[in-house]
Amino acid sequence: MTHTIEVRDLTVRYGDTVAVDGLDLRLAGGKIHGLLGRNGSGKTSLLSAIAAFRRATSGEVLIDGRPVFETPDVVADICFIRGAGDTVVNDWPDDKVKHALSFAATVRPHWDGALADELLERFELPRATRIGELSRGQRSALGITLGLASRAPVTVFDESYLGMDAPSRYAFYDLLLADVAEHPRTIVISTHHIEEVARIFEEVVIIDHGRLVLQGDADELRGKGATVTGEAGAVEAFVTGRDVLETRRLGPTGAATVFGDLSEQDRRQAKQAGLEIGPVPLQDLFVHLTESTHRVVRNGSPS
Amino acid sequence: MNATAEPSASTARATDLAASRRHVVLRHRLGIDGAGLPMLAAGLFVVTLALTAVVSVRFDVRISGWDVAAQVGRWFVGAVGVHLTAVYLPLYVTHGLTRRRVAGDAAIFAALYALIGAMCVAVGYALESFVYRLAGWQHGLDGHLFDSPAQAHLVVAEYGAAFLVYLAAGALLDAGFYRSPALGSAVLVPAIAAVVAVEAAIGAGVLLPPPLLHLAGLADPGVLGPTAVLGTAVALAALLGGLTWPIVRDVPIRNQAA
Repeated sequence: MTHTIEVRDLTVRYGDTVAVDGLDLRLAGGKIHGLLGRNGSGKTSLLSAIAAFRRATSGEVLIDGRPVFETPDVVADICFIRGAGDTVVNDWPDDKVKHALSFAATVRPHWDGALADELLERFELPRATRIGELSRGQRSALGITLGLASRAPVTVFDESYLGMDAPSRYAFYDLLLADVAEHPRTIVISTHHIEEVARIFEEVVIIDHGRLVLQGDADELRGKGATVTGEAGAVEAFVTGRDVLETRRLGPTGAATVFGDLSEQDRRQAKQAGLEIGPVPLQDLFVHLTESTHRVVRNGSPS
Repeated sequence: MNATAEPSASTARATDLAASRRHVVLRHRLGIDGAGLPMLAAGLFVVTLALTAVVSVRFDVRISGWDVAAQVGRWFVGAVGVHLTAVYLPLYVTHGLTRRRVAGDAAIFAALYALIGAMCVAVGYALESFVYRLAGWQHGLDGHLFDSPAQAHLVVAEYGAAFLVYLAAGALLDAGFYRSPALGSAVLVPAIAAVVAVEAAIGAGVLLPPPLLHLAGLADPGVLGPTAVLGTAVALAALLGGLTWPIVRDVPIRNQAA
């Protein structure tokens, strides 16, 4: 079950504020997609429309060609974990961890109780604890448990690791990779911990001001740019005429981040000039692209 | 062989999944709230009886304690209606159900819950009547469609009608406030009007605020028969439901943590 998500000319408005602005996007099925964007860039609004938590102001969201909003079979296949996830918090007296799992087991068609138990053990979450008494990290771990164990063909995590310590976050990434390898499905992860999570992304989408800034294969994107370091004059000469994202200088040493393919000839030329070529961290690419205004790059190619 | 076997297995699984999700909201709510209501009523009954026994030490018991306690049920059921749109609807939608499916099941649940509540009240009156006879207390009942606990069908009709409208009014109110404070304030008018109307139809008006009690008191108890009262209640509940649906059919689901 690897569902493809298509977003067509999607706009989400809140009064006069445009959160998502005519966005077109296609997220291939069976992959792990990273959705990156600055605060207020429209990530959560986009994901809310994808999960049918919110009706789009205009445009449409399709999953495998079928509209999402209020289509029973389609929404049943989506699990959207916002932050720590929505669950039985106010459903007193059924507001313990065990009730959250029991509720999900009742309504989630693909629920895997054994996986949920395994995740609870891994995150050391006591089943009998009231959800309101969980720490923020534990609450996030519960959200992640609900998301992963739902085994929903489309599973979306929006900043779902908040408050979790590093070992727990890394456990989440490992568990996610292992489970998706065994049960392929479409995963979308929205995050600010870009470098930490980047290793699990297969595709990356960057949005800013509700518009698409970049979309492409994560490995290809990493190879689309380079950090050039060396003698400042040589660096400046090398990057002249290229798409320079940033330059830095410390004494006689300079560094520049360039976007775009470097050919073998470029690399030889750099080596001859005594320059070092390194990869562009995804986070740097994200920072630079979202600092500039509305540059649209698809599959790594500026347009 | 496999090529033909796989689709049929997949179809069978899809059918199983569809069957497991049929009326899932209704089954889930009845399993929790529906099953819990008799236990809550039993607890309230015991407490009421205990208080009546305490009162009987100093005073003659002339009225039904359960008659007073059961009025709390109206407001409790109204609160369940509030919960229906404020808590349950978002919860089910965030777990992969459509608003339409939740609303449909919620409407059936409301009717069944009102009926369960009314039956609990009827059983309470019958048990209380038995205890009062043993204790030699006077089982006074005023302002109802029924004169005696033995008229269980009238007890169920009266309380079923009241519970249904209170529940629907609670659901409408919170649907409005969930969407926006302005809309919530606006739907206060039809919600209160429906409650007043059903109380007027019943002729009880117990526990309403004084101005509304005055309005509700315009009708004499028992002026309308049980069929007319139930018909009025169903019509009012349908009206309230009709006002609730446009509010919730595309309601954005708020972030629980917000």
